[in-house]
Amino acid sequence: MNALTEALTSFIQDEIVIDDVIVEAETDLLLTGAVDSLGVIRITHWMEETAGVAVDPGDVTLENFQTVTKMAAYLDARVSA
Amino acid sequence: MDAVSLSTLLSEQAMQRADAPLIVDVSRTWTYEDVAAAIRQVATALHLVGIAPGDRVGVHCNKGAEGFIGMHAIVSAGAVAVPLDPGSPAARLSGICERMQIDVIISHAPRKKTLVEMHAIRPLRHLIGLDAPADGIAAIGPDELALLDGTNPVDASPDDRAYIITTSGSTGEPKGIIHTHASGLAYADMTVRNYGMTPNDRVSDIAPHHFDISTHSLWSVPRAGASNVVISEPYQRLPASHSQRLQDEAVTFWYSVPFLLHQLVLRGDLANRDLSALRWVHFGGEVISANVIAEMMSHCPNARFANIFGPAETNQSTLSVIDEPPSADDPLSIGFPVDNTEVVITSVGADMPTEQNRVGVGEKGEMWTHTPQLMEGYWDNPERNEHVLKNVDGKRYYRSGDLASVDDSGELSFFGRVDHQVKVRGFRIELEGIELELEQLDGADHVVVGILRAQSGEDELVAGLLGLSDDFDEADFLRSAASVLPAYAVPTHTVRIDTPTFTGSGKLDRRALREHAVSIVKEPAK
Repeated sequence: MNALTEALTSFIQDEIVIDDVIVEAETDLLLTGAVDSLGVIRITHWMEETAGVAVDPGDVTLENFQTVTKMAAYLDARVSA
Repeated sequence: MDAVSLSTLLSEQAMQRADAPLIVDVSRTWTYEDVAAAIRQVATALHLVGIAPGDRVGVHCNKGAEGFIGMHAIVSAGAVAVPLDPGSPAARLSGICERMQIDVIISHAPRKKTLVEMHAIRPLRHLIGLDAPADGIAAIGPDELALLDGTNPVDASPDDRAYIITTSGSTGEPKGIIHTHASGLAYADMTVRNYGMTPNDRVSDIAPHHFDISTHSLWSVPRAGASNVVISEPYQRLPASHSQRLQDEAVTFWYSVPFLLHQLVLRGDLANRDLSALRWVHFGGEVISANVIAEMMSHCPNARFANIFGPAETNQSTLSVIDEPPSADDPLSIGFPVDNTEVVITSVGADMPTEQNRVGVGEKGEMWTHTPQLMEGYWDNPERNEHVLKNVDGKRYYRSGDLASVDDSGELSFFGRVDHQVKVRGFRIELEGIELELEQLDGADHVVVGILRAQSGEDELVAGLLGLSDDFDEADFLRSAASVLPAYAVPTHTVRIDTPTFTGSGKLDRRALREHAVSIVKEPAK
């Protein structure tokens, strides 16, 4: 896990998830309801502010946001782009 | 078709169009016969566990075929379906089960955790649709269901109870809105007739079952022989994936709360989508902003837009078809009553909707409706029923609590509520009810709850806390709140209020304090 993934995981665990779901790399955050619509928006804001990438609305999809692993892969691709 | 009740609606359609698609989900398409067969099996399971006509049975499912099948199986068995919000904590759901005497629930594996928690609070007698989630809970799982021979639906009478929608109440306890086979069917018939729904329609099935908008997909779609395209929760949270699904499934008919349209417009990447199959876009539940309509219109070349108005008690009361993008300062028209509904406006507080209590053209007053879509009444709440249901000249009227006026063409305008009911992302909330629940938690002597209205439609609740305990912990407080309130009613922000303000009569001035709490979040520098 790189530093960015770690920071993302703690952000989601501490700031987004309000019930007792434990956020792990492969937790399906959307199906479990751990992250709701507002949560998705706050995560994209976090990506833009903390990770410094511009998130295109067209990129906010199941393929990129279902798990921390997928979000991290998306961030990595954007950071190195 | 001659269905006179909801109980035979689906089986009759399955005889006409066995192989037509009814439920289109990502992983599977269910034909009318697939669904009818599954309904017969679940209804058989209900008989096996001793459910008799009139008994209440819960449905606790995420969006998808299981919930649809569960609701129909219950009404086809003559029992009363009570959808239980997947976003509500176990304590709240167990409270509903206690009040409505529910101990059998139709569910599925993804809801296991909540069901186990509910069982610990108030024992569940039988679960249907998933294997026993813990020792000591009896269950009829999917494999056993598949082995059951199906039973035919009972012939329910029009006035028999069919389903109960629970909604937030001002006392902190949810109200149960009881619909009969007749009132549910009157709604389905009205929508099919007025919107010309046909077997070719592919309808977005997006509202959770405990939300009354879902009756459109539950009853109207099979009544028309049309198909539901399931938009499950993950798609709702990701507008770009959601809009892709609307395009791929060539959805023709949309009905949702404005919040979801707003999300599509903001983040749905609509410039890169083809939504030309859409022919109706309906929205209701709360006020929508004019620019969302205008933006959505620019992406839907073949769709007509309509604002739907009416509480869960009466299903849909009025309709306003919007042909041109509205400007921001157009009056708040809610259109005209639908074809089976009569609306009258009385002076606010009038006891009966009699001729002499009605206000004149253009005057504001309280809205009453008379319609075959009207509920039987609230569950176990005779005082409330007496207050809102009145007979005049043999006609039953419902007191809506909405402030409205009517012009000389019969067009209605809406001006808000006579009480403290508000809408957050389309969900009905009584601020006093939430305040009462939060005041019962450890942490603060008094709590006020206000709404932070964001431009984007992402409304957030702000809890203003008075008289904080010394060891107050915000995270603990919000966790406790989430254990008693549905997800949409849990505050996003808490703020401390040091100096209470009082009304002339010495009571807490809740209205002013709510505004104050919201202003602290809006202008944190002060």
